[in-house]
Amino acid sequence: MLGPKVYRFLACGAIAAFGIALAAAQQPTTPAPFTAEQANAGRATYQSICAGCHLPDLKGSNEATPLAGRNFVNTWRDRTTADLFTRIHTTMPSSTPGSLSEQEAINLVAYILQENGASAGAQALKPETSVPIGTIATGVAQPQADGIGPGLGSAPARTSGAPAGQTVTGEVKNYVPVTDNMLLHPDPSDWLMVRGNYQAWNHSALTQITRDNVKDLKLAWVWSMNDAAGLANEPSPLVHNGIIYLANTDNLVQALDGRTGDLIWENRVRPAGLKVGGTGATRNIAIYQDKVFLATTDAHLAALDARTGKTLWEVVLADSGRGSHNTSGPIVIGGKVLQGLSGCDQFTAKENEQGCFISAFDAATGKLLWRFNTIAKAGEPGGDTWGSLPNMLRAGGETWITGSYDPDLNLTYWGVAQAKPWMQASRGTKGTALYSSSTLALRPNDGTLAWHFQHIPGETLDMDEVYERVLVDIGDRKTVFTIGKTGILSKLDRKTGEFLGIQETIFQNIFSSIDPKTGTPTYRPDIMEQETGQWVPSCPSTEGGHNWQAMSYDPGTARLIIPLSQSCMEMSGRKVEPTAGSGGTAADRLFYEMPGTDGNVGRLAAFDVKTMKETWSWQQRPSFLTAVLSTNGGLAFVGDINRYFRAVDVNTGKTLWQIRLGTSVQGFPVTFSIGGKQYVAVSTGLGGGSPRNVPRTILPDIHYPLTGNALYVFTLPEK
Amino acid sequence: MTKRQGLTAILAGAVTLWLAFSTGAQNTQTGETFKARLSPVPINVSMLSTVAGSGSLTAVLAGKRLTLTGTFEGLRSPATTARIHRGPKGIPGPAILDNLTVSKATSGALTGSLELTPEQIADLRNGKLYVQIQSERAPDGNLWGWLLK
Repeated sequence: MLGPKVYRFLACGAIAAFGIALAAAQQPTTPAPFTAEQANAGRATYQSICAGCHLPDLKGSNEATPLAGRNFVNTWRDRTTADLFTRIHTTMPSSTPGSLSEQEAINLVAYILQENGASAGAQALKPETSVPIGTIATGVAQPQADGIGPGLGSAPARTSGAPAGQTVTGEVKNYVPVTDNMLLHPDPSDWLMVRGNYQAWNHSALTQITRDNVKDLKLAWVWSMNDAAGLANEPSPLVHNGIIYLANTDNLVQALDGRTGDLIWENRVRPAGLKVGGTGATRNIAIYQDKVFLATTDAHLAALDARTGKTLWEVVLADSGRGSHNTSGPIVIGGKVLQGLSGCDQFTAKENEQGCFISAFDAATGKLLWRFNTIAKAGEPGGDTWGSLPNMLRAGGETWITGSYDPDLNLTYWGVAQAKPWMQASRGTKGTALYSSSTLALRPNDGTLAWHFQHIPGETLDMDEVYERVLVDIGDRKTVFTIGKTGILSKLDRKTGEFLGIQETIFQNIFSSIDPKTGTPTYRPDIMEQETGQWVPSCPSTEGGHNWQAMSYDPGTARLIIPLSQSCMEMSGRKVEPTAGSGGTAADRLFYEMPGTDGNVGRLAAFDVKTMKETWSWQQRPSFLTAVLSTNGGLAFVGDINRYFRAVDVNTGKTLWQIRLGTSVQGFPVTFSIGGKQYVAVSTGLGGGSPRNVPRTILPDIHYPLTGNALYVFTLPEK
Repeated sequence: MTKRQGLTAILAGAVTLWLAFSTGAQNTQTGETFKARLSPVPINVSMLSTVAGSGSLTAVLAGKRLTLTGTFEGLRSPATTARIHRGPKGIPGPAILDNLTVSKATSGALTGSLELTPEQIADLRNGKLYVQIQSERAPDGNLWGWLLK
């Protein structure tokens, strides 16, 4: 009698045989026009250059489209191998388009075709070879003779770079632990969290650098940062007692002497090359007691010893195999490390990985304390807003920007990204899809929801509403401001979530109307009628009227100073297979200048928090790529893609000082003081999503070096 | 209404009438002026090799007649045709007038003199008309720009 193990073995064998037979039945009968040598060479190129964004299994993640499977074939069926070659050769890699040689691009096409079931033959692929992809590829890869399965089988993410661990050892002398009270009432000499305080003001009370003397600002020192190709450098340094804690790309954290730029310690927290999706950015880290916290690009959370940089604990936030990752870091509230998550766009059958979440961990131990799932499941409150979609197909809702916190109300405020795939036609539902595109007010003690406000019900054009929540008291009213990609500034009561008002900051034609009492927008009718494969125009584009480059709140003038962008797009949603491993963002985009702007993409504008009216603005052709930092010196600092870093007068917006840096200025400017001397620090950086991809298309006249990640520190000269 | 308020109202009315008259006279003599910045139609990076360029355009409406003069440069291939399309700001729409004259070159001039219907005049004033230039390698559109005040 056969035992259960034998039956299981036979059953597995039968399934495998059926699978092979099915795969064989789906294979084209004639060889495709590429050779095995080309495909093998393409595999190596793919691993070293492409897998970081499109993932090792070619499934794609976020804005990196899938390159294998039925979703790929659905998109490329009627296009040719020559079209695919041209697309790769001219647009890839996204950080340095056009840098692939012709042969590398040919090899990549061969490899991608092979991974989609095309059979290698004797005929070599050439740039001019023009065969409809649907005639040679099925989306189902064949098992390879060398035993490597589809999509590199279980090939790991790139680990060819340096291993994890401390690369420079040293010690911060006389380290003073960061207490809850310090976080509640930050010393202006420090910069203890992203955006400077719990209220997300991006503002400093320092006054040494003023309107009158800013013209004398000089470079104190510069520190070259990690230049990992394809990874976005967008950091917000932390500063405590004169020490700068800096997150580089590729999960590299450093401690630097803020006065001299000397390196004290360095920890490569994860092995080099572990980016599993998204832009690879690490926008911020957090500091609390004796620890620095890093959310890694492969969805781990690590605590480092702030004195030595040594890793003290490390936990897994989510399955990076699904594309989960982080681009922003945590906020620490009352001993809890609160962390969002990115890359929740792939459908997964794993119930505990479905949706997306904000998590809280014990700062001392790394123990998971609670999770709030931003995607309402069937049967839960709000679950019916996804229609009849099964939980597996409810994707998106990323929390890729760090939240803010009101200690008095003991509520933490987070933005939630849109549902995925981007377009309703691809998602297969017209529901409002809670809690996508919403502001959440959570109780940090247990992660329960106090209230929510959905800014764009059923969002369908990748118009994120995930960005900073800025907390401002106006008289007795406690408000929270936010602005999304539509460029619509919203004001809510942060105690109740009551809608208080909106202000359109740039031209938009997505909504035909917005209810002034509720803030509920009504889409232009043709947007709602769109089907997959149809192009729909909209202003702004996915670059956003606003993006991750955070605004500042200047309490002296009671104004929000907001970096804005002006561009438009056409978007076409793709058909998405409703299967595990599918999903993604699933849309193609074309970009164009925004009419009426005279080609000026960048716009800097100030808004009165009480009236929400614009008090000043100016625009320029280059887009802004940094947050705005305002100070009690009457200044606001901001940087742009054209390498300018400038200080403007908070009263007028007039430029009072500017300097040109090594490459595009990108990140979060901060200011701090050591020994009574004020410094201003800002990073230059390459890489990123739509804020880089859109200017690359519509600002071809703006040039900047394709290397040059660095931290620049400025101060006034000695008298 | 007090006597002072009455005088103020009469004065305001007179100023309004004068402004309306003078503006109308000016429109009749010199017309209403609209401007357009010409820039590439919707593209991705891979299309930059065929779709590029820039330009500017001035359009003057005098009565029913719209007179356009402009220049363009930087096309990747010679311009072929130029048309006026109807579409709200930022939203492409159908061509409604096609008898514009454009230099058959990668840079040059664009001119035209057209009689508009009342509906087209209303669209023009509401920012719903744009000019689009086609070129040999971008036959579906190379540069476009909305006519705005």
